[in-house]
Amino acid sequence: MSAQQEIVLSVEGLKVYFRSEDEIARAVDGVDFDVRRRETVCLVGESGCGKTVSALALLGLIPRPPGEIAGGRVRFCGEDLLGRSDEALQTVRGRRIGMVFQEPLTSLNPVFTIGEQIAEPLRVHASLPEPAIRERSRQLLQDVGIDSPDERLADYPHQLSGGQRQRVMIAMALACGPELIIADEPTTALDVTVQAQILRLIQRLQQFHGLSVLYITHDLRVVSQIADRVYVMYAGGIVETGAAEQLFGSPRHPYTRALLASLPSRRKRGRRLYSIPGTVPHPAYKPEGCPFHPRCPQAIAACRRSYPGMCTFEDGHTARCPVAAGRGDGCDA
Amino acid sequence: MDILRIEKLSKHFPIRRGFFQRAVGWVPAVENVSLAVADGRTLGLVGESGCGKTTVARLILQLLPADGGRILYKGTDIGALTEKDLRPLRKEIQIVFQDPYGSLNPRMTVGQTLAEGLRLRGARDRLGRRHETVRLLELVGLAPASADRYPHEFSGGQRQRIGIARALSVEPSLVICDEPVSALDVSIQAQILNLLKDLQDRLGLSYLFISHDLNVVGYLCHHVAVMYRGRIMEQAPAEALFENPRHPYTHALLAAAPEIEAGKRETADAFAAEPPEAAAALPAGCPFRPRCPVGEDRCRFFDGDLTKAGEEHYVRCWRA
Repeated sequence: MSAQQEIVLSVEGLKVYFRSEDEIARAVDGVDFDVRRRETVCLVGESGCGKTVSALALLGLIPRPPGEIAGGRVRFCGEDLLGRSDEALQTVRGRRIGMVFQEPLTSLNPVFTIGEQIAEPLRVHASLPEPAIRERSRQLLQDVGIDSPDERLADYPHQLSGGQRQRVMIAMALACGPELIIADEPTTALDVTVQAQILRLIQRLQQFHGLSVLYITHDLRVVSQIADRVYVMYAGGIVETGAAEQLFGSPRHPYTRALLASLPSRRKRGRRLYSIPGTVPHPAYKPEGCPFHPRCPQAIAACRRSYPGMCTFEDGHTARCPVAAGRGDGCDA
Repeated sequence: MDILRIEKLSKHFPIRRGFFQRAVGWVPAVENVSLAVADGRTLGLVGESGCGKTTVARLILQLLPADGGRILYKGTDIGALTEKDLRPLRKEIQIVFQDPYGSLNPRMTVGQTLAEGLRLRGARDRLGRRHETVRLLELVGLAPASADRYPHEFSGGQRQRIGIARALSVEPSLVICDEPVSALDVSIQAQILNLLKDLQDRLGLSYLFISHDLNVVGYLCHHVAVMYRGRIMEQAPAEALFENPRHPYTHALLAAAPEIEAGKRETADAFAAEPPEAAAALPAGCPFRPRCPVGEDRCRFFDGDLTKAGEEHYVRCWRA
C-alpha cells in the first residue's frame, strides 16, 4: 500500500453532468480517486451517489447527449482516456480494462451460446485463430471455476444459474488479460453464499494475475471483506477515503459513520438502528455548502456556507469534513 | 401463546415436460415443515433463493392449497375452512412484499389503495375512511397529503411504507414480511426496520419475517428457522442460533455474511458448490450432503427429523 506502488488508474476532478431542458444534474461533481497495481479499491455509496456514472465515464460509456464530461482527467497507465476517440477507447475497453456488471442475465446475449460470447473479445482484440480461441475459452471457464467447461460452452445463458452466469462474465472480462477489472455490483443479485464464492473468486484471480480491481458497491459488508482501500461517495463527491482498516476502524465523516450505524446486525438487537434523517438530494438541486449538511447531526453554520475541503486524519485517511477534523481552516490537506 | 402454528406442512410442485406438460416428477418445495410464531413476536425464516420460504408464506395465506399438514391460526385449522369461513380470517394475516412498486396498483392513489382495506374492515362512510387513511399514513411515517398521490411519485422506502400501511389497513394480527428491505439502500433499510419494530411495540403485531439476510434477521427476529430445499434444518431462539449454531448449513450461511470488523477479512471458503436448483433431484439422505463441508458417508442414510439440541433449539443433523 506504499505510495511508491505504481498507479494504474488515476481520476482527477471528474465531473459528469446530465443536461435536460431546464436543469443540470451534476451526477459526478469533482471526484478524485486512484487504483494502484494489485490493489482492490472500493467505491461505495447509496443509489444515485454517482459511483456507477464515474465508472461509465472513465470507460467512455456515458451517452452524450444528455451526458457530458464537464471536467477532469482520467489516466490509465499514464495515458489520457477522456480525450480519446471512441475507436481509440475500444483498444482499452475490454482488452486492458475488463468489465463485470450487476445483471449477468441482461449483460449476456440470450441468443448466443456462452462459447460464442467468450470468443468475441478474443476474436476482436486478440485475433487468435479459431482452434486457439476454443482452447482459450475452455481454459477461461476452468479458471473461473465452472465444471465441465466443454458442455457449458454450448449452453445458452438461461441454462446457467445466476452464480455461473456471473462467473462467465468474469471469464469474459479476463479474456484478453486485462490490467484492471471494473466490477459494478457484481454480487448484488446473488444469494449470500454465492456472493461469498464470487468475491473469493475475484480475490483469487486478482492475486494470480496481479490484477487491479475497482469494485463498485452499495454494500459495506462486501467492502469490508475485499477492499484494500475505500472511497465513500455521497451526492456526486468523495466524502472519505482511507485504507479499509482506517475507514472501518475509525470512520471520520459523519456520513460514513451514519451508514455504519444504520447497518442491522445481531449485535444491535433490541436497539433502534440509527436512521439518517431526510433524503439524498436530487443531483440538480444540491444544497449549498456541504451536500450532507441538512442530514448531518454535527453540522455547524460554516457547513451551510462553503463546500468543505479534504482533511487529513492519518496518512492516507482523509475526509471532507473540517468539523470532524476540529479545524477552522476548512482544510484541504 | 402461539398465534400461528404450522404442523408438518408439505407442498409438492410437479415438474412438467413436453408438449402435453405431463408431470415427470415432483419438487418437494415444502416438506414436513413445522413452525410456530409466538404472539407479538417475530419468527425469522431464512434460506437461499428457491429453498421454499416464499412457498410457506403462500400456503399460510391460503394462496396455495397444501398437500399435507395443518396451519393453525389462533388454534383454528385454516386449511380446513370453506372460503366463506376463511374470509374474516384473511384480514387477520397480511403480507408485505419485497418489491413495493410491483405490488401497488399504479392507477390508484395511495388513499384509494388504503380505502380498499378500510372498506373491507367495514368503514362505510367516506369521512371516516378519510380520517382513518390519515391515521394509517401517520402510523407509517408518511405525510397525510400522500393520500392524493400515486405510487410512482414516491421513493422506494416510501413505497415500502405504503405497502406496510396497506397491510395494516385491515388491522391484522400477523404480518408476513417477504424480504421487505432487500431492495432498499442501507439508510432506508434502517428506517423500515425501525418502523417494523415500532409497529410491533405499538400494535402488538406478530411477524413472520422471510429473508436471506442473516444480519437483518439477527437484528429483528426473536426466533429463527433455517430452511434448505424445503426442510427446516435448524430452529432456535435468535441468541442460541447465532451464538451456538449447530447445523453445518447455518454455519455456512453465517460465514457468508460476516459482521464488519476493522482489519479483519473473512476468507473462509464456506462452500464449494452453488445452491442447487429447486427442481434438481434430491440426494439420498441429508439434502445438504453434497455441499456439506463436514459430510460423511453415513449422511447418505440420514433420514432423521429435527432433534432437540438445547432449550427450544432443534437441529436436523446427526452431529447435533
